[in-house]
Amino acid sequence: MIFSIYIINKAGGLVYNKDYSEGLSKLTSNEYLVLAGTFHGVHAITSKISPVPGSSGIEMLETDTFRIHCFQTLTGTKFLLVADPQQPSIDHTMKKIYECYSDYCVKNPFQNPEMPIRSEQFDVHLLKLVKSVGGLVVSHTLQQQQSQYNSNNNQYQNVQPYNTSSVDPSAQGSSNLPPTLPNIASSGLGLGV
Amino acid sequence: MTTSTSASSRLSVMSMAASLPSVGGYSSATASIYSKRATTNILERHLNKSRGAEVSLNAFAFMFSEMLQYTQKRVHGIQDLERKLNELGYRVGVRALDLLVWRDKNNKRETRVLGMLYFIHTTVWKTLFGKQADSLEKSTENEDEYMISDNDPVISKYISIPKDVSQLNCGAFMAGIVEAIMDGCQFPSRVTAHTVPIEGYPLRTTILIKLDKEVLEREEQLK
Repeated sequence: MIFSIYIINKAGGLVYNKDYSEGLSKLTSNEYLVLAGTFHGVHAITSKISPVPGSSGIEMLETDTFRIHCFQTLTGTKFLLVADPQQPSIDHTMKKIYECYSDYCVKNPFQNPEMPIRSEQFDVHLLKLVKSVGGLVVSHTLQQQQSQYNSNNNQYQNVQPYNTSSVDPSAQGSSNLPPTLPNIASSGLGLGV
Repeated sequence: MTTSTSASSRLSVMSMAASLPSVGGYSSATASIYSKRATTNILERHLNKSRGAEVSLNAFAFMFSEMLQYTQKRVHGIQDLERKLNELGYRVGVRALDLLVWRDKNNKRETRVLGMLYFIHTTVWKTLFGKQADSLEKSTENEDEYMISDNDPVISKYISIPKDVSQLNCGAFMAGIVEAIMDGCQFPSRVTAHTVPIEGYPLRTTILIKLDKEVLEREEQLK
């Protein structure tokens, strides 16, 4: 089971956080930032105090009830995955998350690097990914959003080539865009430790 | 921009000429392998061969993203941005039409609107995006309006439009391509792109083609 995913930029600021499980105790948005900053600092310290030169920083933090896996990209972005200790193939999941990030955040022209991630497609695909690796307890809000997202698109019927019943795109416009999924890391950056 | 690109292309031509084996070198086996490698260069490739000439989608996505960011810094408002994207697409379309007509085997010139639109719907889409467009429709309200829809446009696969510019459709680039092709085939028209999501396809984009009056008049005469 995957509990949450955090993404920390290279300066130690939290750019994305999302919970995928019910019944997790919530932190305030400020506490999330502190958590990210602290982890960033600890990661840097662990790589420095290692007796073996050129060691990477902390990769996994284990407790009785959960593990925090950390994956740092070559550019310094860190992906944190809070998961059940029994969760299998974390490495693969991590790679997939990175793939998702590079597809829908890095290639998105409206996403500024190192800034909080607000990319609708990233949300959608990450949710799909977490569901596929199993153990997602769909929380109420997520389910609601998802159904709203679907029903919003229901009003358009499928049209076949060369038929005459057509839609007038200018009238429908883009006002009916599906809503973005909520709960993106609200704001704030640059909380170094 | 044009000067810099022409300079760089000239450069690559020169360097290629330098790297090519001297005349007569083709006879030896090693030289023929060498020259085969040299033909993988885009300028050496045969124009009719489209297989294996595909461009990486990721490379395109990064370039299109940069194009959007570049354009966004130099415009005021969404309308302006779409117009600019349309212009960029137009430049692509003019060249694409040349290539497609060259590649087209039946050497036919489309004279009717429907044939022309069908050409765009199938041939153009297949060459540019590797698939046909998903539908071609005629507007019921306006005689001069046609629509080509793509359920999952390749161009905006990785793009999420933020809320504050929700009217923007990056398909304006595709619209520009279509406009250039219509223009080039003597079907002057105004082409725009609109987001029309349907169930399962939130990114569905409709290219709206509004034909000029003269095209309709000609169409009447041809009937």
